Amino acid sequence: MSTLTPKASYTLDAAGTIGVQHSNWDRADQIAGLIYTTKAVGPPANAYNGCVVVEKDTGISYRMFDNGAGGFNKKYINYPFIYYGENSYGLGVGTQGVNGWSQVGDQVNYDDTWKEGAPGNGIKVQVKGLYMLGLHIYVTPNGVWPAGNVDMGYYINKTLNPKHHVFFEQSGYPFSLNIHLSVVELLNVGDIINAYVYNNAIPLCTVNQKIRFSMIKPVW
Amino acid sequence: MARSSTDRLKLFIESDDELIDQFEYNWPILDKYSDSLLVDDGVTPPDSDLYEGCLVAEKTSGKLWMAVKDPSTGLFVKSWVSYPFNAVGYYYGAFDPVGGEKVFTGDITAQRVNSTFATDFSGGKMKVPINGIYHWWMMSDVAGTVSNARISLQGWINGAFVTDLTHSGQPSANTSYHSIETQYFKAGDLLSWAWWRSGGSVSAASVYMGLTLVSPVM
Repeated sequence: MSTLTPKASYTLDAAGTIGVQHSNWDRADQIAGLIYTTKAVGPPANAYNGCVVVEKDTGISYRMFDNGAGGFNKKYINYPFIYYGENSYGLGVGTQGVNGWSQVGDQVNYDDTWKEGAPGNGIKVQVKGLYMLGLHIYVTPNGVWPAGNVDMGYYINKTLNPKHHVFFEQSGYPFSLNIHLSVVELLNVGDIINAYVYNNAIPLCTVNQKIRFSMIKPVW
Repeated sequence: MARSSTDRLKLFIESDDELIDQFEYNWPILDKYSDSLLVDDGVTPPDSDLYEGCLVAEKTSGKLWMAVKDPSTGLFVKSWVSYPFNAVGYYYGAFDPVGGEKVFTGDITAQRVNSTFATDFSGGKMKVPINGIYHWWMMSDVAGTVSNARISLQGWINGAFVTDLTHSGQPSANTSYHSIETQYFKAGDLLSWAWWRSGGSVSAASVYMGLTLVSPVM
């Protein structure tokens, strides 16, 4: 009577018999090293617990782990990802910036699943991981800055975290203001990323904002 | 004399048809070592279960290491291939203008990746877990009045001041300091911070420091 090995499902025949062991060589050929596939095809149905799957066309790799319900969960090993977007708008005093992004240039492994949609139009995280968030905000005042401050940074799940923002105090000058802010953040699936700009000083200013959002390392 | 097994995985090699049943013993070996050896988090298999270049994957941490034989001892050591790691330390409280190294009062639990305050901070200083290239960042909010004065937020490594951010001539309250660097650190390096100011009055502040492993280094 044949049985299967617990991980890779090689056939074991009864001791002293050859049985159907010949079928194992095809199995060994399939899974030796890494399992190669494409994003569209996905992993083979007969993957095994802990196997490594590599997508040839994306560079994404992951391990497949039994989910206890007859299927598998993907745990990403490598997930090359970058999004580059920008936005510009007018911002009145005492108001918070409008969010949303238009894609600029090349993206890596970004698709519509990463879009929050209306009303926030932020970026919706699809893979848990450590990310580098790079933000550039350029504020042009309409005239001279009165006394007050401008607060700029990231808005994650509609929350302004103290470590994600930059205050600026300005008064008496008509100069534009640039900030560059980079932070590393552990983000979970479903987290929504936006820029945050709060103007408590200027009658009307123009805001230009750019974001570069990239994966450092997937986290399980 | 003909070999009876392969060099690495010790698979039986039989040329005699009467001994072909020995192949049976090969399948569990192939099963065990298919692409990598799976272990529970933190478990190191005995050397008898390893071979040179064997990949060992932890089931839930995402850590992956290669077994490499130390020529001086003949024993296997871990060469990290993948080590997801993130820690963020914080300090909230009074601004202490006196120079000198300061420590963290806690860490942000929601940002932990394979990290705890107990294991990755020593005496309130952040402790580097393994050799590697890291993103190292600092941030501080300062409130107060420091007109015609300067304030610095400093980064310290192993008890020595190494980098700072300085604002000067700041008119009034609320200034934020941000810096991020990419740097090679060795296991056990201790990271901390300090403030400095040339004058003015600063009432309170917060400090955050983050450490993210980009790539392990052997």
